[in-house]
Amino acid sequence: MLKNYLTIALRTLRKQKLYSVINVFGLALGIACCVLLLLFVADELTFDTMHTEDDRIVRISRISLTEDGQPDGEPATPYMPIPAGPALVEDIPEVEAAVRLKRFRKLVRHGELTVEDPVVFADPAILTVFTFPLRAGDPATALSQSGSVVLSEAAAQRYFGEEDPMGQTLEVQFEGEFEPFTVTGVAAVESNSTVNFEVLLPFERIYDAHPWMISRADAFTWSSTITYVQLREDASLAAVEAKVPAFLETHYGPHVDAMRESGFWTSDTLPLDYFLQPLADIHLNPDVRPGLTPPSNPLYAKILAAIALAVLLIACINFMTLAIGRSAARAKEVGVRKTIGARRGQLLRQFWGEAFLMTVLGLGLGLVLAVLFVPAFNGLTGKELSLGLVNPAWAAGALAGITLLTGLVAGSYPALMLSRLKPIETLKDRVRLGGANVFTRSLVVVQFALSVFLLVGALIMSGQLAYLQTRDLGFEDDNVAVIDVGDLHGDQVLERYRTALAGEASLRGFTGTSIAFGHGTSSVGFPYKGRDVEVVEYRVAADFVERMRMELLAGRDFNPLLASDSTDAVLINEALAREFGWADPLGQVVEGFRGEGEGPTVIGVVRDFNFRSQHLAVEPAVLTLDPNQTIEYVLARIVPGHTPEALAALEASWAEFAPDLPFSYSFLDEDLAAFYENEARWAEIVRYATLFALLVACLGLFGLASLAVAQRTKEIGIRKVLGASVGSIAALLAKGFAGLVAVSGLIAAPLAYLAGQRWLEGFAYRIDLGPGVFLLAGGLALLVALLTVSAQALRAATADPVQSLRYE
Amino acid sequence: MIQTIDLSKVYTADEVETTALNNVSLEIKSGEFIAIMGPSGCGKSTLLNILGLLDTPSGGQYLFDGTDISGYSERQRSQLRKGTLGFVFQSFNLIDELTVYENVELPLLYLGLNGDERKARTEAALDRVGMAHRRKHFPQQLSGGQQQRVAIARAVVASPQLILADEPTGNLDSQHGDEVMKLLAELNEAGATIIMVTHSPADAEFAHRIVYLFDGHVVSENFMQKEYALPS
Repeated sequence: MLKNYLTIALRTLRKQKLYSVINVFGLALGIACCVLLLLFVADELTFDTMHTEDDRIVRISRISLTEDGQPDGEPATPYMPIPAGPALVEDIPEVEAAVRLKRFRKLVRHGELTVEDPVVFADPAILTVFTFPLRAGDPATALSQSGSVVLSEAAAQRYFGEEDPMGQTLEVQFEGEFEPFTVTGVAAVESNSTVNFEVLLPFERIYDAHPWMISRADAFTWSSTITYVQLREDASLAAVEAKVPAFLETHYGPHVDAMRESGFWTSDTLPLDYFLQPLADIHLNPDVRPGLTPPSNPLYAKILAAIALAVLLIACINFMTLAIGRSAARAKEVGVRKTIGARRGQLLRQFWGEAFLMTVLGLGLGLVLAVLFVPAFNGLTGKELSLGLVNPAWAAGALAGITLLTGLVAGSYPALMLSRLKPIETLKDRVRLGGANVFTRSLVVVQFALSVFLLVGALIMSGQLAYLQTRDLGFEDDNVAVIDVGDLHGDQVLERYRTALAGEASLRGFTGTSIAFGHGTSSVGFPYKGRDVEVVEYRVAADFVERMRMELLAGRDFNPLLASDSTDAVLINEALAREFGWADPLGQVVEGFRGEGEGPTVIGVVRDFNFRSQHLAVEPAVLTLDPNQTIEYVLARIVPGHTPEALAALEASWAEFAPDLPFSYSFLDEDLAAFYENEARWAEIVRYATLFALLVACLGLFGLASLAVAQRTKEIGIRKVLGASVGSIAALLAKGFAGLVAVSGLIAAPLAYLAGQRWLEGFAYRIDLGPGVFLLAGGLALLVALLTVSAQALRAATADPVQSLRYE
Repeated sequence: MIQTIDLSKVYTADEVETTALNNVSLEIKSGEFIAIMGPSGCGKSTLLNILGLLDTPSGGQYLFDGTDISGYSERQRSQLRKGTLGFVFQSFNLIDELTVYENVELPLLYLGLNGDERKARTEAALDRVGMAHRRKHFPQQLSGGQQQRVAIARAVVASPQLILADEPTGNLDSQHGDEVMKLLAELNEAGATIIMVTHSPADAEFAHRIVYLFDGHVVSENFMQKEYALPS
């Protein structure tokens, strides 16, 4: 019997080639999409699961507290004092081991090859606390010698190629000198681990690389290393947490007492608390600032899973609508089978079986497509996903699940409907199936509603991102190179550049600031007339406003010749004037800014400029020439189109006055674009998902249109005999489908509006959602749908009417 | 074998009631060959469908081997259909995607017979209708007469007690029609009970008895002047 079913299924497939191709290809696209997105979700959910002791590993983070002991609202940070890790092991018996990590970019050399690579300094326990299987070497001792280096497999390949790296020498540049290290291990490092490395050195060597850190080695007041601890097997997290307050009192108490004495802190409580974060919580908790890897918002994994299911659903609907359209052809078979004794259950099994067969074919092709798309998808998501990396049991389960779900859903309506047919009706051609069927129409509406929803989403995201890129930020961000002066004195670097490159044709001039836009902010909090205010401060070069092409709304710019301008003058932004309630800010004193009762005088007001991400509204800010602070970033404005020459000149000049230090630069517009990297990536993913969804929906529509044409052959013939034109018949056929797409648009628009509005609320500066984007999405969907059905409609309309009537 | 008592069938569509059968009482004995005749719309096919358990009567009784089956569920009817009844249609109703052999084998699959037995019976049925040499062909590759012979092979392959034929020669030319009728007559002589709906007086002559229907009534029954022996 099974053979009979299979025979008939395969012969039907072969006979109805167009439908089979549409069905299998549609399912394959849906499944490919699903596989890729599930791969992403699986990667997100399996972060850090390779570490076999994961339930005993905890990362320590700090939360700042206000005077009344409440969190101050800022995210927790995973950067900890250098001595915190060892002190935790010492003081709290439940803590068995601590691993401190600190990453720096360093020049690494092997023979001729010199590469700038991230180098991680870590306590030797990293190889025993975490699970990094060593291809060579012993985890217990690999990092215990101060001259040891452990490489990831990728790094070993990069430096040593096919050679055996064990025992070989690799050099790392410390303070301008290359230090030799002996390779003592090669570790398998997976990309979905929050702790990872390419080049791993013993933590103690960090003091050789950065001697200034020696003075911080025992300080609890300076935080810079990421610290993980491993708990004893029998210890609970709660037990450790209970001992943290005493630990904090011991190590931070003396410092806080000093703060209290000098009046910086008045509360009995401490200004900070530790937050113990289990390993499994780290990746999907965006409330803690990034450690070695950025955390991910679990919402995105959920949205992706939903998109994957939506695309698969659209493919399933294709299967259903096509099967319904084809059912007239299958009805006779059902009649015959029932007449000679088939029970309904047997027919259900047969038709569901066919759906599964189709799904399995779709799965095969879908997997091929998925493999082909993986590199592009990795580029899109910034991940290193591979079908081969997934746990086989997991993968088999997921694929079986996808197949089962797809087959069940796709086969449901055909199986239920066809098996219910009455034999005498089917044998006498009395059944009316497909086409005008309300159910079929609803399915098409659901498909296009999903497509329009995604389309609107993609348009909104692209629109908003384009708006952010082109919006006037209050300064000109293009063609500005940002040079990080590092440990050098910025004011001197700025002067040297100005002198050395005064005549350089590719450069339009220099200025400087304490923090370049996009590199963070520094703010001063103080009481102003009885309430606490917070003001962002930039120590700038005197010509900053002019060079950055900011707009001075009132007053005057800094005058470098006036000594009082460096000590007693500020430029403020509009936000500050609003915050302080100044109708006429010129001449006002920012009281409290330099300590009690004192402050600089406002000499000018600058139009609001977006120094932070446009997710946030512009906050009060001042520009000062305060000589107690230094410039940390030199900004060079480049003549458009001359970037390579400008960079060469900047680097050559740098090499003259700082030959030992690497020339490190970025571009201001790229720094600012980094704020929207996440959104840009998401917009890209949604754009592709929309393309997939629309493509699959159109495949279905194409099939449905050809069926509709086949079913209306007689009607079309009669109309033509009665004198209908080709145009009127094509329009007749297209109209029905256009109506369905219009209904889809009406359903999708309000939902897309709500979702889009919600997404836009994350931005302080955003586009208005007018009807334009909805009309555009609806128009696009309609256009694509009409193009899809027009070929079929035209074919039917131009056919010879005698041909179509002869069938009767 | 079959007895109907006051069998009636009423179709209701959009508030219009159509009486297709009105108090039809018939008795058909085992081994009989009955032809049902009458003008279009007289209820011939409706009667055949009810007798063939493809449709249910609106009223009256249908006794099959003495059991009233007029109230049977679809499941019970399908159970009784398979193995007991064989059907031959005007439009052959072969499954296009299956070969001649597979079409004939299909009822045996639903009966759950094993492979060897299926093969033996299918071959025998094909031999009987003279279609064994075409077993690998698909229906579209055959002439109408050949298709109908395959359909007859399918109808008899499970050795049913009763064969129902709905205008079996309606789509055939006279020569092929004659062949098909001779085949049915042979099957009847071999013991099968046959009920046939037909428009053709020539075909009806193959039957032992002709039942005339008009507007859903039996208007006359005409015994052909032919000898036949009821099985004891």
